[in-house]
Amino acid sequence: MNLTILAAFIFIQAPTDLYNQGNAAYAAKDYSQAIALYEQARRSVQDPRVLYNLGNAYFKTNKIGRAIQCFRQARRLSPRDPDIEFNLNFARNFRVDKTLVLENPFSRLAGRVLRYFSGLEASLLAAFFFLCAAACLCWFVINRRRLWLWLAMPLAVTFLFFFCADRVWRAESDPASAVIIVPEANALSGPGDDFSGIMVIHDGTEARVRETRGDYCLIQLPGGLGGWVKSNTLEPVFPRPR
Amino acid sequence: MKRIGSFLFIALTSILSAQQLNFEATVDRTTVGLNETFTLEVTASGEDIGTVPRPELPTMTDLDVLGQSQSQSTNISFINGKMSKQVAITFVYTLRPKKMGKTTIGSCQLKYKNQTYQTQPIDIEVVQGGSQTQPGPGPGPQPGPAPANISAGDNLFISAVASRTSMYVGEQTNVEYTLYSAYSIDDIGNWRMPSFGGFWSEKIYELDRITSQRTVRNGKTYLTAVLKRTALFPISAGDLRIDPMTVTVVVVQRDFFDFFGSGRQVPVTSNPLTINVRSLPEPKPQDYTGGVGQFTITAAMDRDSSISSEPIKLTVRVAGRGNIRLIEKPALPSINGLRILAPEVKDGVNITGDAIEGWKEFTFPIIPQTDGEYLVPAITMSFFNPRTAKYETVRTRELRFWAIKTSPSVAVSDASGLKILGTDIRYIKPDARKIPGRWAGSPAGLAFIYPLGLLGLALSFWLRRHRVRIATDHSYARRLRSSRLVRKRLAEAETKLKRGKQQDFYCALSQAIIGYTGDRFNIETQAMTKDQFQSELARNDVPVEVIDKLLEILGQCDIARFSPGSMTTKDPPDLLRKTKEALSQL
Repeated sequence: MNLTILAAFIFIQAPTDLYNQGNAAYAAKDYSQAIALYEQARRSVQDPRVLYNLGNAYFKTNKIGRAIQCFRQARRLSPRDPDIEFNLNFARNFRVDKTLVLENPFSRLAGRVLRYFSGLEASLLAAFFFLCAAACLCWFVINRRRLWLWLAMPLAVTFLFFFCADRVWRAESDPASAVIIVPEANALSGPGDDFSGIMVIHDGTEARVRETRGDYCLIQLPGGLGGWVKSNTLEPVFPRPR
Repeated sequence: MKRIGSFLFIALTSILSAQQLNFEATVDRTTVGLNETFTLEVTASGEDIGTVPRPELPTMTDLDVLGQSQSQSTNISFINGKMSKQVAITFVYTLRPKKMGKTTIGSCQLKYKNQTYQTQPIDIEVVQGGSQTQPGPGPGPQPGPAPANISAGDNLFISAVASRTSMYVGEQTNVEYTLYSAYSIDDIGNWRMPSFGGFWSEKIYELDRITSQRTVRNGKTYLTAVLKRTALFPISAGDLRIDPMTVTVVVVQRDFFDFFGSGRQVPVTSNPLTINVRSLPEPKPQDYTGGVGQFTITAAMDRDSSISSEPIKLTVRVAGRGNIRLIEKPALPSINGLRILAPEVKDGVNITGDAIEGWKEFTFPIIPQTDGEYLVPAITMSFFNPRTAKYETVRTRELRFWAIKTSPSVAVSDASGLKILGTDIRYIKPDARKIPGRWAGSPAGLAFIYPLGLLGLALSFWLRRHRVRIATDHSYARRLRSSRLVRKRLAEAETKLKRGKQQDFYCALSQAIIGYTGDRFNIETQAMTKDQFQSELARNDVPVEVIDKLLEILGQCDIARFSPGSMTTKDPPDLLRKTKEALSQL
């Protein structure tokens, strides 16, 4: 019985305490201790602050890949936080492998606008505006008053915006997107040690997993380059909840 | 056979020990196929003879002389303390018969010291096709056209020779492939080199145009050509096997039908080699990077100051003789305040004689993180020198550079453009009183809203259509109204029955039936006779038994209304139930 009380106590109280203790360890520059505490907190709650601080601690211990993973998870929960955005970009620029694909300014702007609302907000607002637009359209069909049609149109446009935002977040949290978490990994031409190497990729490189075979995954970088790497060299950015 | 003959001949002359000259003619075979060639050797030998003139050949009408050559051999021997010097001068003629049958090579004549010598005539039989006797191996026949059924063997083979067969890991050995052929060669093709697994291989020489030379091996004359020479550096210790190489040799061949000779392709395979590789002595020095040979190391920077954290390129160059390409990057000491990135590697190899020389450059980008003067200490590298069988260490000189303006903002220029970044990530979020769990991602339950909206739209279309029909279609409107009206009328009748007004009840009941059927089928039933009513209902496909039921109820109502005295035995509630039943069947 004592144990259950303790367990319940930890379950309810722990995330906040763990987080605050982690902050203390971070301030004392004991980053590995901070990582351990934040990781425990992350196991029970999904909170942008925990993820952001954990990302910082990982960055300080030179684990760029894990830091990027944390910042991206934090950004999904709190997309309007400029600190998260800044640190994510900072960590990305700190990587050994620079992205060779120039993002075009339009799509970058669109991405920023669409990511203004978080995934949850976007999906709720999309549903709300869809209902409003549908109701106006129904009323127009029944009554044949033009006013309702004119009202339905901007509502539908608003719905489309939030729908796109929702899609963007879904694409962002695609389980196929992964990040390299080891300092250096060899991308081979096939799923096995004896295949010839194609390139060497480094910590923090973001890629998409196209296929998994045994111990190996076929990954593709944004530029289109790809290769087979060991599954334990990377981690999905958004692991499926267990 | 021929060798024995000439030996006997020499022996004979020495026994005679005559001052005079021996003059003899021999052929390599006496039965010759038409279009085949054979050789006639005319030998003049004797003790201490000097130059002899060329002998006069007899006129041979049936034979063509294709070529001639001359050779001389000297045999010095001591018998009973006395030196004798036997000299044999041989004139070799290549002959070819012109026609079939028997022919004779007449006596050759030689004039020497005022004496005339003659040889015995030789009978030759010329037969159709190839002769029965094969050209006997010996130093005599020149490499020439090959017989019909040749294959790789003693007369045609590749010899693979390694310059050394026992050495250290990483030491150089050269493997040379030489083609030996007793026949003329037209072409060499279809090269299949071994993979040299377990070695780093570097080509030194490869045959591009056939240039052959004569070589005597085991007393036999061959045309030889060096096909390939490769430097090999073993990567691991143990007995390493080098697989044989294979080429297809096109041998010139003459036969009866082909006057000028034709090529015949013969695959030839070399012998395999085994090389014994010793591992390097232990312990290896800390800074050993895999070099075996003799190397030097130098370091240089592309500039001596860095502004705004511009990367400085530190190039470490290793050069020398040995397995240069197998050398790995030298370890750089870690220096506080410097970020040293993975190096860019370049190498080059040139071949001087049979030795492999080259260089390898490691270019490390160095990014200073803070201002100040930096010292890059001497970089050391050890290699194994197989000549002394010892490890040797070489070092670079120290390098210095300045870094300024790193603190205010670190500008890292990367491949995707210039980005101005802060010096560090932003600090962590402050402590929290309460961290609530947050719902991440999109709620899947919201998806039901979308079909719901479409359903609403479909519903509103249906509603619109319904309204329009009510407004425009009279019968539709009456039909829609009918069930509501009949319910109302029947309820009215029921209340009248409860109040005991029998007459009114029957009146309401018949009104309900007539009104409902009228509304239902959009017919004017108020002024109808029973027959008309019946026929109208029948026209609208109402079942006969339902019509009968309705007519019976109407009849009972009429009876009750117009002749109240003759009350039927049927009780009114039962009639009401029957009416409801009949109308529901309509």
